[in-house]
Amino acid sequence: MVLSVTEKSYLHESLASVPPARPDGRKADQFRPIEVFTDFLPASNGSSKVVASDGTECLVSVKCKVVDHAVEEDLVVVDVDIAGHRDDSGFVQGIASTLSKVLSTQLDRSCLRLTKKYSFKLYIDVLVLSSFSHPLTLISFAVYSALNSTQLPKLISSDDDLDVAELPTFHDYDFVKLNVSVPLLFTLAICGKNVLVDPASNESDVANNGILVTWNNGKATAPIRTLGLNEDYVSGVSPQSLQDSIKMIEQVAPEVLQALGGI
Amino acid sequence: MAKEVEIPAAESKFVIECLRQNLRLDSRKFDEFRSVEIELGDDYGDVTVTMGKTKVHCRISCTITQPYEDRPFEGLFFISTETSPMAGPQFENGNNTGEDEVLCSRIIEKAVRRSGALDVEGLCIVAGSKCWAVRADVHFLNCDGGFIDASCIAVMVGLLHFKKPDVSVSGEQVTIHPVDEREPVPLGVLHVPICVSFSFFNPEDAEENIKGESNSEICIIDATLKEELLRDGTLTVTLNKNREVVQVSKAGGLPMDALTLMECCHKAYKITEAITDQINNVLKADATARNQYAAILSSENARES
Amino acid sequence: MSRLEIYSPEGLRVDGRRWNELRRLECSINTHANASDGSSYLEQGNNKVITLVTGPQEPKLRSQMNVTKATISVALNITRFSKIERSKSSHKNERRVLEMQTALVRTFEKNVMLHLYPRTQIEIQIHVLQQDGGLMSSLINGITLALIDAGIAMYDYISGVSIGLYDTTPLLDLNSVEENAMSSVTLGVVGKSEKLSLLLVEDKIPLDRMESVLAIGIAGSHRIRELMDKELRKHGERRLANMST
Repeated sequence: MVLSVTEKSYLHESLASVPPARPDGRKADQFRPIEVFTDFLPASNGSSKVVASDGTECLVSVKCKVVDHAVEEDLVVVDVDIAGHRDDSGFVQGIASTLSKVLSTQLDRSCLRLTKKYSFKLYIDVLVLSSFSHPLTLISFAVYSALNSTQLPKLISSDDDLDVAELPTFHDYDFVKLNVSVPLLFTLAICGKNVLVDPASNESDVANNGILVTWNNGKATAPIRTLGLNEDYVSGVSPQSLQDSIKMIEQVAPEVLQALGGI
Repeated sequence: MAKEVEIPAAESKFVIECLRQNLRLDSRKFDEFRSVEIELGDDYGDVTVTMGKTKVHCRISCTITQPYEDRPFEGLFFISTETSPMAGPQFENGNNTGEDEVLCSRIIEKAVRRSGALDVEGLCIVAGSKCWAVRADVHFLNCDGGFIDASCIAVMVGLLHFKKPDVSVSGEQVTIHPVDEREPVPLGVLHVPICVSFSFFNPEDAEENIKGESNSEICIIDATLKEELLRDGTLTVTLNKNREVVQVSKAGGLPMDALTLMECCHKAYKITEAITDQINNVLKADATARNQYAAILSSENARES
Repeated sequence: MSRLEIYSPEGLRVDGRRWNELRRLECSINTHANASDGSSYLEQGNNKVITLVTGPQEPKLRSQMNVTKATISVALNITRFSKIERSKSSHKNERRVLEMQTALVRTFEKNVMLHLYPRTQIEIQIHVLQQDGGLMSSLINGITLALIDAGIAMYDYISGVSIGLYDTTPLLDLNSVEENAMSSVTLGVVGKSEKLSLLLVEDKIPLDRMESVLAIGIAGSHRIRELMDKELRKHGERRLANMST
């Protein structure tokens, strides 16, 4: 929705006041309700769908392939498709590069290791059907639930194949659950001195800046960086806001993980 | 920039009113195909097909390349159908993503390439490393409707007429014999698909077409450009002489009764037969013209029969 | 492929159906109420298709505007993960996809009452999450449902189905194994009539067998129309019940 200058200025001031007054009545560290569905694509190894209350919807499919890990360096490939945006637009490519960097560096490669020669290669395809606010948090939730519901074929041949020239063979129908710790990406909006978690589209429109915080293995990790959420209100980020955002994520992330883990 | 061909309202009303009265502007009957002229050039695989004012030129050429990795025993075959403003102002240079261009090229592709009209396995020279790549370049010289039909005929005549240089293989060594040294060999054509396009007009309103029982839709064969621009729907049927439907494409447009469509297929078969015979005659005449001195050059004694 | 028995002498197909049986068809409408004006989710066997319709709305470009009627545009997104084997290339701008989009636009142009919405655009977005043969027919069914959900005036349903010809037996509603093993025909039938809005044959079929193939296809499409109609009526009843409470 397009807001007028007056509306924007009113919204900005209420978000910057202490405590912040968010238009949907949320607290600063409160997320919008989401719905998560998993395992609905039998042709993929893992799949998930996350729908936010504003209609933003994100689908993730995880497929695997057996590769020789001496030949193929990247074991995780991320592809992002956002409906209504061109694939080569800065917005889509920015999200795709952030995601693939985080996932390919922080996913534990040993979980994908099959034998001494072969590994699984994961193809993570993200499809955003409709996005009203910045979709990165939602995508990250979807990737998290997709990877945590991923079932990989069960190896029945020996895992030591350095000397024998054989391809790994798999059980006909048994699967092993992929057990890997998946990083979560949180977007936060900064309004004045306040830090707001999970900004809605109208909040993004008036935020002074956005901050991306990554959470993995129980702590905030790199990358932590700024995100441009709009073009009108952008100003620099004070170190205090940065610290506040990390502190806030440290508070909420365990709860989020618990909620996502319950699915 | 492409310029749409626009037909004045008065003229379009006139054309449709004529069709209602069973008349066409060029005095053809509804199920009459325009007479097809096939001209063969001096080179093998050089064909010009003329249907009324529509003129299509097709040139077949071949080179030696490497086959696809997953199909080591098959040669390559491409058909390129590029429209240019030469055919008419409605076509843009270098832009082949227009709806009609895509449909046209896909239908020819399906009719000729997908149906296996050309024996691609016969193009293999050394499995996995060398094969012939045959290219059919279709040029649209003038447009007055019936592009698909004309270009399909042009490509097929081209393939039947074309001869590739003879090769001999000994081990990995491949020798290409120039055409003037050794008689070139024809391509393996497995069947001759012929496309016939129908155009549908709705003389009543849309409701009658969908809900009514009258089935009064007008169906004409081989529309001219004007008729093509005014039509409500089209159907392209591709058949061969073996009574096989190779491809049918009715990509939307005016809904038509299934029985009418079946009738169209049967009408198309008659046309297919006639055109196939014509193609064979043209090729035979060309072959005799090229070989008129063969009898003198031959060292064999002619057998009395 | 050859070791699979496509049609057993007992008359059973690879997935256990008989020759004239459809696959499981499940559909729901208004699935993405916030994201679009009309939406549907359709499962036809293992095909899973999301269709979103936005409009009638003002066209984004002036040049897309028609003063007498609405324009329809179709954007087909076949996801890379839709088949068992992930495709290496994105399917956007493939000629095959462009052809399907054009065919879908032309199919629905004649069925939507475009003259009621002059100067507007109706955008149809389709996401194919999974495909297993007979994709075109699932797309047609999905669009029909989404257009109905959007409240756009149409003359009738268009229901699609694919039929194959195995030797001399027509098989209804092919899955991908069957589709690769035999030639197939795709139909788009208008309502309960015998009128075909779309007819695509992509492989060789004997001319004399066409009629029986079309007959079984039309019967199958009518059945699909019934199934969709039933679901829509159920949806309508639910909505009405929610409104009165």
